[in-house]
Amino acid sequence: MKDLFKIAWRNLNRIRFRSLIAILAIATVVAIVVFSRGLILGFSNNTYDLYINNNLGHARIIHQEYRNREVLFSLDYPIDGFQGEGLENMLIEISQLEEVEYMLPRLKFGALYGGQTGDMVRMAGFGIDPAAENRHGLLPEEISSGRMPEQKNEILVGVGLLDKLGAEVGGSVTFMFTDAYQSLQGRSFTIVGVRESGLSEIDDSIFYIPLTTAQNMLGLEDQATEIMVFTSDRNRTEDLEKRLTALFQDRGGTESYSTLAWQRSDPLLELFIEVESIFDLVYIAIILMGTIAVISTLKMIIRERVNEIGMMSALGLKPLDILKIFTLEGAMLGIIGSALGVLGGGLINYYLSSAGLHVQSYADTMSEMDVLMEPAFYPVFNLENLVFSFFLGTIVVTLTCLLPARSAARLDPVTALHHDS
Amino acid sequence: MYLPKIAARNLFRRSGRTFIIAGVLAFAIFFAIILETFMAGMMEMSFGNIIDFDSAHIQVARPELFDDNEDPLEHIFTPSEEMMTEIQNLPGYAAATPVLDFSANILAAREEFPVRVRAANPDSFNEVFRYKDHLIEGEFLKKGSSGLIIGINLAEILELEVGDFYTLLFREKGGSLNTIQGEVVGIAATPEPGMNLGTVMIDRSYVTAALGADSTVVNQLKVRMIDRHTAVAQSDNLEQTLTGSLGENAQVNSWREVSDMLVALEVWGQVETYFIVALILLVGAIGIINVVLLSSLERVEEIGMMKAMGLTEVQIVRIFSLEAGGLGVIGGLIGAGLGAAGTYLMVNFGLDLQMLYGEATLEMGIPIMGTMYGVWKPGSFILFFCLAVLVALLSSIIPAYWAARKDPIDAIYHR
Amino acid sequence: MGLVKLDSIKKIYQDGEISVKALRGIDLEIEEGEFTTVYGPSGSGKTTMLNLVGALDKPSEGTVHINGSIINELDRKGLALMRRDNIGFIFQSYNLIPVLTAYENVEFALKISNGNHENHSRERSIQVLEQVGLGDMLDRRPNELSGGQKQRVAIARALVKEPRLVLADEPTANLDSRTSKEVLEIMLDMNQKLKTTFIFSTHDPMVMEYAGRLLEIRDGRITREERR
Ligand SMILES: Nc1ncnc2c1ncn2[C@@H]1O[C@H](COP(=O)(O)OP(=O)(O)O)[C@@H](O)[C@H]1O
Ligand SMILES: [Mg+2]
Repeated sequence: MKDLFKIAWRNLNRIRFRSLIAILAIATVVAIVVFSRGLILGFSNNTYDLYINNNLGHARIIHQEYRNREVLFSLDYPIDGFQGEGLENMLIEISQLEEVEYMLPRLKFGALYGGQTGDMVRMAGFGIDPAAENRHGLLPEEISSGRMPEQKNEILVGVGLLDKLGAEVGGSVTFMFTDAYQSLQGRSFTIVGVRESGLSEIDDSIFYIPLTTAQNMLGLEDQATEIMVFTSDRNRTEDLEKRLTALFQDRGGTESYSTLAWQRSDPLLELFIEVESIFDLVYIAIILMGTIAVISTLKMIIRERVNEIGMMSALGLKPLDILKIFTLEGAMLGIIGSALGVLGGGLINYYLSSAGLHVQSYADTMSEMDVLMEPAFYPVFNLENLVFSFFLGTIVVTLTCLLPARSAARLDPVTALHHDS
Repeated sequence: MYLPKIAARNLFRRSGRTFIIAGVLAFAIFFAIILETFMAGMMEMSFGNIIDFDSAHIQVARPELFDDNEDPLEHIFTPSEEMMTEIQNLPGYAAATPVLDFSANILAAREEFPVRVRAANPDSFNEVFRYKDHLIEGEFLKKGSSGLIIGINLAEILELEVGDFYTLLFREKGGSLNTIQGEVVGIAATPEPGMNLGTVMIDRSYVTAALGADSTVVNQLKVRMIDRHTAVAQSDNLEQTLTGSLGENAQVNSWREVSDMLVALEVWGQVETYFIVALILLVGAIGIINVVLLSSLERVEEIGMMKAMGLTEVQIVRIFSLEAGGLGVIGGLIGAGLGAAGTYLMVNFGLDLQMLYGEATLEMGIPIMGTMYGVWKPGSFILFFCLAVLVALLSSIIPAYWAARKDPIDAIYHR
Repeated sequence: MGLVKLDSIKKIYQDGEISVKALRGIDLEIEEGEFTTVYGPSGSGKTTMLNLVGALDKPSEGTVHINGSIINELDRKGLALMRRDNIGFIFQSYNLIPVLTAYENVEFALKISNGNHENHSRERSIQVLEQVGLGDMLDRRPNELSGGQKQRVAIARALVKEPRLVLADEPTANLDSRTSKEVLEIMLDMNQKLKTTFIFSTHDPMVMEYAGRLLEIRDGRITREERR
């Protein structure tokens, strides 16, 4: 084996420029794979996390009838616990499940602001549990000034909304809403904080008040419209879902409530997840394009050395050994190329993972669409991606090199010796 | 001349290699052409739907109306006779209709939902828009009646049917609250998702009466032209005449200016296409360097002889560049051929978008539903073909020069 | 002055640490119309000398005059043009262009020189091929020809543009003795008919008898010279 290795290495070194181009080809395609995979991972991770952290949790519990009426901010289908025993009890029971880390109960309602100018501002109010939200961390992190609403009439307002209201931190704001009994009410709040998420979907229309205040003013004591449930990692959602389903069956909650894993809560995410799985094939196709250079180089090396191959087999080298030599040559090109490609792609990703890839037209598109997506790309820089791409490159190259290597191994020694190159 | 002949014959000598590399180039071109067709089809469809159901080809309004966050009722006007004449005299004019848009909350049963109310003239409205074919239930608006047409998604979430009662709650120009009540007379399902949920329609004369306003007031004039492409230029002309010689306080927008999202999406689609094509062509370029290099290595003695015969280095570079250019042409032709076949299929048979995207497009608010048809874009065929040939030529230069620089003696004696 | 003049030529090859003195001082003048044979054992410097005479290479010391120009002073392009306009080459390994037919190989040489035969290149190419006895093999590719036939195509290719000088480096080394004779006879015939200057090298004593002027070379020096 060591000898075969030596022969392979020498052959590659014979015409270095030629080997270098083959290596360059592999390095390029592997770098493209590292980059595009990092980009896609980054994009989907970002999007998934945005949806999970803002809207969906790892699993979301709602009333079955609520799903279609969510856009209406309907208060007709709240969660009032198992058998009407109340939200608090339900939260306690869920929190005792093995996979559950924490929960965010939320009470969503629509509100109107009729300001001095006469025009109306439509808003979405979220009743939130401050302690749980602090545990979750997203909300407090994105407060650009002020603090979380802790009690009674304190309110946290999105930065765009604040602008529309013409108010500022410390000021007060009065808005109208319809309570659970369909009566129109008004209430004043003191603005204690401003949220700036950078996403206009969130910043322009949403405000947050303490859950108890919301329950109180809407007439929904001990109730919420949804519970976002979090486990330790989004990949563990399936386990979480199993536990939840078991609990709900046990406690007779399946009739009125549904537990939705994040993957199935939003058609856009479903599309992304589907597309992501197709991409593995795309990566292989990209590498195959680079393999062409290796194959044709290998074929030429074989053509040059038909005589030598004939002599080697005349000297008793088995076809398998010949196969090994040439496959080894291809594999070496694959390994060196993949390593360089991973290095190059890794460097690009490393840089862009913090700097971000900003494309104006993409940012424009995203700001016009009703979706939660970052206006720039942040490719993921992680070891998994590098290792994956390295092995994908090496394996695909080596396997495709079996073809020309096999044809070399099958050469008839007699004709090979008399070949006129 | 002999140089092209030699290049061409050498291409076919190693036809396997030639066709694989040409295949990569062909793939890049095919991909680019199909993506462009797809994007163009999507744009055509999206803009088409917006034109047919929301914006029309040209819209005339007070400039302030086009600003976001403005109450549309603040910016009503009565179109002057001269204005109407100007519009009707536009070359390519087909029809025009006045609308009065305002925001309101629709109340039905126990629910309330914010909508845009579009008060329209029942007769002329259908000359400009395509609503009539998309009523799945009930009938269209009648003059002087309080009947309301709602979109299918709104009907679903509010559980409204034809004949059900509704209330519209809105704020008048002065600031006081007002309501309009009546029955739902029709339910529409259009390919423009925005209209299926967020917009309801009512007779304009009924609304102006309820507002106690003059029956002539509107806040937009919607104009349909015979051809959408003339509309873009004509809208600029119209704006100049209206603001210039007529001295009106008016802004004229064409359909292209209506959706910032689509314009941005179009640009983004193009950036994305070019980026992917650039990556594939990069791989193709390395493939070409590889081919030219191998080719020159195989033909060292031949190059040596040519140099002995007195061919200059430039001439030898030309042989290899021609060979690579030939690769580009072959790849380009195959790619363009495949692209033409793909475009033909997309143009004639279309693509079911729901199958492709599921519900996701509705979620994003892009106005595409149903079957999308491709669009012939001769420009992209030419562009990408030339690009492939250019990439092939450029990437051949370095290895060709490397080959041509070889010492003729070394080359002849193959040292 | 003669067509070619070598003035105290030395050629030293630097091969890493070792330097090889391939030519150690050659003075030589070749007149128009001569049929010169350079004879010597393998490694004696024949090829090196022919390469200098053919403007393929420059000497380490001394000057080479070809057709009145000093080739030491020419750049790569100047050398290429000098070869194109004045010199025809014939090599041991024929070096035909494999993708071109016999006829095309010959015409190609004519076409690149853009010389006087621009307008009747076809007739001229066929004429030369007929002269070397290949009138019926115009459309064969090199791989369809025997060694002797290939070398005759190479001769036709070297002659077609009517160069002042034809250099043949061991043209018969790959051929059997009968074919060798045929090839040499064609060359001699051309020399007599067209008055083309020929220089050819060989290590085969058999071939020497064709020489009009014989130069024997050993260890990079001319050791014997005679005219017949
Ligand atoms: N490129 C080179 N590098 C090093 N040594 C060379 C080179 N070319 C020729 N030589 C050496 O120069 C000497 C003369 O070679 P050459 O002219 O080829 O002889 P001949 O053609 O008579 O066989 C030989 O010793 C040969 O090894
Ligand atoms: Mg020699």
